Amino acid sequence: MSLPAPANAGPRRRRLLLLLLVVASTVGAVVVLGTILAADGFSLLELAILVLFSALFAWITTSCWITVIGFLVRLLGLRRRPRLQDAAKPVTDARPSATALVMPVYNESPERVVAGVRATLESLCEQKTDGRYDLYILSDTTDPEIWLAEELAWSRLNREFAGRVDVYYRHRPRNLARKSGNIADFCESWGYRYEYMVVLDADSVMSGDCLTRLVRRMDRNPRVGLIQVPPVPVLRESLFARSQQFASSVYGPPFASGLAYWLEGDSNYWGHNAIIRVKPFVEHCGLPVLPGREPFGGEILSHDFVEAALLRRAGWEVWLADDLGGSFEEPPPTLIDHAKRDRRWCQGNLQHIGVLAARGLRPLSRLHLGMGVMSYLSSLLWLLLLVLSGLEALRQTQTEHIYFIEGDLFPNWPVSYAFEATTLLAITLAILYLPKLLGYFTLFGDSRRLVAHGGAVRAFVSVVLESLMSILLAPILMLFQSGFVISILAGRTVRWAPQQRADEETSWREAIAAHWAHTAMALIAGTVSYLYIPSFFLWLTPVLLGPALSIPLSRFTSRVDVGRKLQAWGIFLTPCESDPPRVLQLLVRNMSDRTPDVVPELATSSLFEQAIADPFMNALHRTLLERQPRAKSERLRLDGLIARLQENGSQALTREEKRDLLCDPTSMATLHALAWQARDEAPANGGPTPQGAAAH
Amino acid sequence: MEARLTDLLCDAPVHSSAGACDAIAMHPAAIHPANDKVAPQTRLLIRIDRYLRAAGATNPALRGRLMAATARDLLARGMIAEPAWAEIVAAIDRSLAEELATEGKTLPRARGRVALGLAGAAAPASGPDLSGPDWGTPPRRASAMPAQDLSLWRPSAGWLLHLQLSRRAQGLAACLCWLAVLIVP
Repeated sequence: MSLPAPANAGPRRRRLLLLLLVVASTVGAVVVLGTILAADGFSLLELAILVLFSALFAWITTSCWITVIGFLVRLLGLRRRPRLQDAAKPVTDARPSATALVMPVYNESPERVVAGVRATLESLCEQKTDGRYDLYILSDTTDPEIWLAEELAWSRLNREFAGRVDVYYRHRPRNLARKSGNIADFCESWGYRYEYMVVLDADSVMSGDCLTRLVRRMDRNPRVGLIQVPPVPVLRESLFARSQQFASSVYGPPFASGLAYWLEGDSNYWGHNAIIRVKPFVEHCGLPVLPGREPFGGEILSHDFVEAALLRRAGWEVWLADDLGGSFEEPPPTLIDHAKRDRRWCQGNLQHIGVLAARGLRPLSRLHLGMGVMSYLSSLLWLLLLVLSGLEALRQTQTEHIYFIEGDLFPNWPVSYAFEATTLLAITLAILYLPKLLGYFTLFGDSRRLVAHGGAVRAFVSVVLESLMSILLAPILMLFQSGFVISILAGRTVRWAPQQRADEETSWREAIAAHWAHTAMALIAGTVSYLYIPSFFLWLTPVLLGPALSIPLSRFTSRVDVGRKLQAWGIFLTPCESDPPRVLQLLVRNMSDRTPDVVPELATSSLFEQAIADPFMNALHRTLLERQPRAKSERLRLDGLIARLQENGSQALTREEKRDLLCDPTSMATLHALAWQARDEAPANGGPTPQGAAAH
Repeated sequence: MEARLTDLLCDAPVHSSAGACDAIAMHPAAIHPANDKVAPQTRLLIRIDRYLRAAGATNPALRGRLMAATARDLLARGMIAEPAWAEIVAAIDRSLAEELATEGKTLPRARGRVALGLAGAAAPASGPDLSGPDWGTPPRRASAMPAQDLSLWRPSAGWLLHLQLSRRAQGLAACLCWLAVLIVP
């Protein structure tokens, strides 16, 4: 696909300014720490501390400066889009664009998926749209029951939106290349029908207004290959999730504005809630299998960053639409679920080490990939810094100061660096907490937002509480992430598991299993430092407190009743809770009146049994299957499974065996006939036999 | 046998509700297909009737029409005596396809049963081609996504051969070298 005429040069000055700010503040902090450490000359240990400190300081300073810039951008009203135009499509272009909303799903709750899809489509249908919109549910589900439930749910959706939005369903029998393979299969098979695709996650919801504006922007900006809308986490009620939702709602906007301001067309892709121009994506974003074995080789797990880098390499712009609302997702409900998701992302991001130096990538794409790696590596570096600092403190306590050096008449007085140390601590704390404060101050720029967050006082209390929670939880996450990095470096891979999306509280058992090591480490480190380096112990207390209390903390923060109570008091309130937008209202309504699709006569049997016995379900399933030629040996194996099912019932088959039968239309037709045959031979009864084939 | 079967069938089921169809429709559970006392043809009709009811054909007129068409289909294939359920289901699917056919397009495989189960609700108006192989999706058109090259960048020294430094840069470099010599030791 030929690229339209090049646009203006990138915002180099802004990027240079950010680089200077980060470098200057890091150099300043390193000089101060270097002065303290160099009092008695540099040891190797001190040098290592200085190197780690400089890397980590640069890391936290970058996000701080991005937020500061974003705050100023919002304050000064600089969020104009001189290049990314949003106006209506010119009338000369007669053909309206076609957009596919694609939702890859993998063993997700069908009711939740359908509730989200329905809300998005209802919101879209309420809009006046120019082009055509189709929705594809791209299933990679392996669980037979969920697969069949998805089909039933699809048939209902399809009927509901007939004539307004075409809803399609496709199930892949083999999950090649996971989510990226799922999307690639869509692009290869049906990409020819669409100009754009909007990628949704299973828990994504996007408003019709957001979707139509995205399409309009793509129409008006032919050089843009992808626009990412920052998804706002919503709808969870546990204490942990509500604090995350609040943090994202308050601190997120200035950070996103800062990112968008200095990145412009060099932004990144976050995997979902983004619109993509299909043709360049097909041409330039086919992912290779990385050389070597997992975890670093094999299929690319975190495909989004790489796809954005490939689009940029081909010359297409990637934008972050920080000014668009109406993009939502659900956060993990508990700390443990958050960590489980991190484990998956961690492996994907560390895999990018092998892509960082790929030929032809833009420097900023390399920076995105590097920052992705650093977001997990930083935890390990932080842990290392703590350990080395402890060792250095121990060394200092065991070193006696020499007041009189041989041959020198004057005493060698110890020099105090308390001022420098306090200044450095104050600067570090400021860098950590300034973004939170700026996020809070941003609320005052829009009175409606301030009220929606509970007002000035409640919002401030929420900021304080969230900061306290993050002080306690951050070291636990550091330990989790350090463990993930070490296990990945040791060659352990992660399996593909669906994300926990419902509000389920952590049990004591789960909490102990997940956190016993953290508690033990904190207690050991605390005891050792208290006994041998009492002066260091006090400094370490804030870091050790969270891990030491991790078991009760993890359980407490997962509690929904606490989250609800705080919501009633107006703490951690977000606009999506106090004044939910229309699309979220639709989602909540759909979720509350969702009813599972079952055949009434067969309500007690499994969906697998229903798909065998019930004429409608059997037909629905068979019409959605794609015919695949099967080898004779495979056919014999399937016949063997049918025989086993007849003899021992569906319980005799494993999940994989059921799936194999479900994948084969011939077997499903045979089983259906056998079920009805069995009904003929059984004593008279009123309805079809769910266990028909088994009873025969 | 043919004549007797024709008697049992409702030739014009939309207008006539007489005969076996009616009896079956009114007392479906009273006659079990395994009952040996019932004639094979009646048993067949009972089986078809029960299946159509389970498939969602609640309208007696439609059911009667479909029963007649299915029996005729089986008759035409010489499968009247004791057809296997696979044959009956296939015949019902064919009858349904014919019943629901639009603009000369026939419904492939079991799609008629889906339409019946959905109480006659049509597929999306502008959506999939009814004659296509997959109802859940539009026809596929394969266009491969070529795997991109992510081979690593390696530094080459070729640029050194063509390196040109301005006088000012050369002077600056010389100064830095001197400073390094003076300060570092």
